[in-house]
Amino acid sequence: MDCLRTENLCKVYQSNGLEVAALHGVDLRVERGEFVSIVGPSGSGKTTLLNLIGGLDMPTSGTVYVDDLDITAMSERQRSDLRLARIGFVFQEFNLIPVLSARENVEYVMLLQGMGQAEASKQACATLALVGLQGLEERRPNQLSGGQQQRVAVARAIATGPSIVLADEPTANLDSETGQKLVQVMRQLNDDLGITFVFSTHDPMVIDSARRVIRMRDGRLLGQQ
Amino acid sequence: MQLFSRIAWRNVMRNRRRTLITLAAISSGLAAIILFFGLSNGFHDQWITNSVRVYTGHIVIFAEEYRDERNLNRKIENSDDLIIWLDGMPGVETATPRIHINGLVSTARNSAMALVRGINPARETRIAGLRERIVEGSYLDSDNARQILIGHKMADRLNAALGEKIVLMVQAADGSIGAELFRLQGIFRLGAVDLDGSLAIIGLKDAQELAALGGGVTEAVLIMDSPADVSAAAAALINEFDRAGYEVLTWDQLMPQAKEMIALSNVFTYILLVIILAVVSLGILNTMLMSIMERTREFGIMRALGTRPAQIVRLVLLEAVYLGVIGTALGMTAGILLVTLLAWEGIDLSRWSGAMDLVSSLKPIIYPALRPASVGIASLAAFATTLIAAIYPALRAARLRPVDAIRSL
Repeated sequence: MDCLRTENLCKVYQSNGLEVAALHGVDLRVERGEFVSIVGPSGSGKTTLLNLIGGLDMPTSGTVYVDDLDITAMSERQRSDLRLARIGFVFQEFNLIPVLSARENVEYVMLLQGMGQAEASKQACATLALVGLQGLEERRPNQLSGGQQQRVAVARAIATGPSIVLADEPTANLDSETGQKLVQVMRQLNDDLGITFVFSTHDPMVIDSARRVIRMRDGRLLGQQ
Repeated sequence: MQLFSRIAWRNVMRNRRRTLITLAAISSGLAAIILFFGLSNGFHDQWITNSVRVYTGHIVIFAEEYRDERNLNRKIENSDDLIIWLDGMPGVETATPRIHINGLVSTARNSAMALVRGINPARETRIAGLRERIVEGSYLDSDNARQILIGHKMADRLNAALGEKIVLMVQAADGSIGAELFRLQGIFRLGAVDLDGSLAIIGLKDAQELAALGGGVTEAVLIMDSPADVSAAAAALINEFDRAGYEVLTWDQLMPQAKEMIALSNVFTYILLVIILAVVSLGILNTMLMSIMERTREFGIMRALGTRPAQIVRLVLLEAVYLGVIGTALGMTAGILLVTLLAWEGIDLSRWSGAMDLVSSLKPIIYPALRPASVGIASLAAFATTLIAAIYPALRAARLRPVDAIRSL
């Protein structure tokens, strides 16, 4: 069953009066439980595609379905609610709310969903343990390494039980060993819990760990492995 | 603590220097407003007190219809009994009888129109501090010593010297012209331009004889312990005397122009309040906008995670609430302390006492006065200003597009 589907997705940016096409009619399907890597050089449209899939930006034309819901037809508030309920995000860097501890960052999304404080705390600690951060729950982001911060971001992304986790070059600012460990954690979550991951990267080591690799160039999908 | 309250509080504490600057702007603005309110209230109190003591009294009782034509036949009889009775009323500081007659004051060389005031010397000095206001000569010895006191401006105009003979001429109650010879006993300076140039003071019995009033007086004047008691006392007196042929009036009915000037002065005070708060709000707006700009990416992340725009507005406004509560508390404390300290000694305005004369101030010292209502209005206004100044930054943060905000670094 598809948890994500795009149809003829196009994105054109206006820049100094010029139109720059970032995506040209992208058709993509991702099934539940997949571990997908989107690969391509800088400027190939990876981030634009992830932003459109996540409802952070609106396409010029085409549609995006998450769990068969057309997010391009939704209002801003509906997209906010959809992101909260069905999509987890891991960004390249500075992912966390700096005034909250690791536990509180993970709790944040659960509290937004209306969960009680005690239950959210318990689940946040359990989720942090899943990504190997037990004992570091009360540390603020500035007291954590880059790799640890990304793990907190992963924990937060999976805390609400989303249909899909989108990660935009999550290892780009990590050294290779830390990046490798982060990908292993994501892969483990995919194996054990069946969480769907779609991430962009151009790190060969990360690409190797993906079960399915989608290649992009100049805003088009080139092929899949 | 609720989720957004917790984040808001930590954001406020995050950049302490900026928070301190914002708090300083709010609290110093509020303290300045409270001080200005205090000065304004103190000035009004002083002005009213001085005007009341020199001109009218807090409450004045006239015989009915006397005020229409200053008809001396409409007088208060048995004033001694009335004054003793009034003296015994709760809240009354002093009661005194007065006679006011228009007349002519003449020396051997000059003459001038005058408002002649017949007084009980012992009681009157408790009201207007007349004995202390004598700048040359001395106070009246008794109420029938044929002595006269005149203001320094009138003395200049008449070119009169102490001990000189002065003739007072008035139209008496019986229609005859009353004329008596007095000795210039003293020259006073009340600090009120009009009275220093036109008032002539003589003993009560001398005035009664001069104007053929028998034992009557034209008015009974009351000074209350506190201006706050005036309305209640006046109401009680009206209830007591209305059917007995007396008219009871309060100072603001007798000096409506004074009340209007205070109202006008209050308008200027409020204009100043608005100006100070406008400046403060610009400061708050500036620092909050800086804070929002610095956290653009953070707001983008929050929006990406599913935080609604309204929740972002709530977060930023909560930060303003914390700043407003702390800033207002600090400003209120500083303002109250300032006013209390200055009220202890008073602010000496004797350097500008010429200007003070125009508003009939006896003492050129202002004692700032704290009023809970003024402090409340200023504090509420400062708090509301902080919130209002945060609305634009809050909306701006909420309107950020997640995709643009996340991209910004």
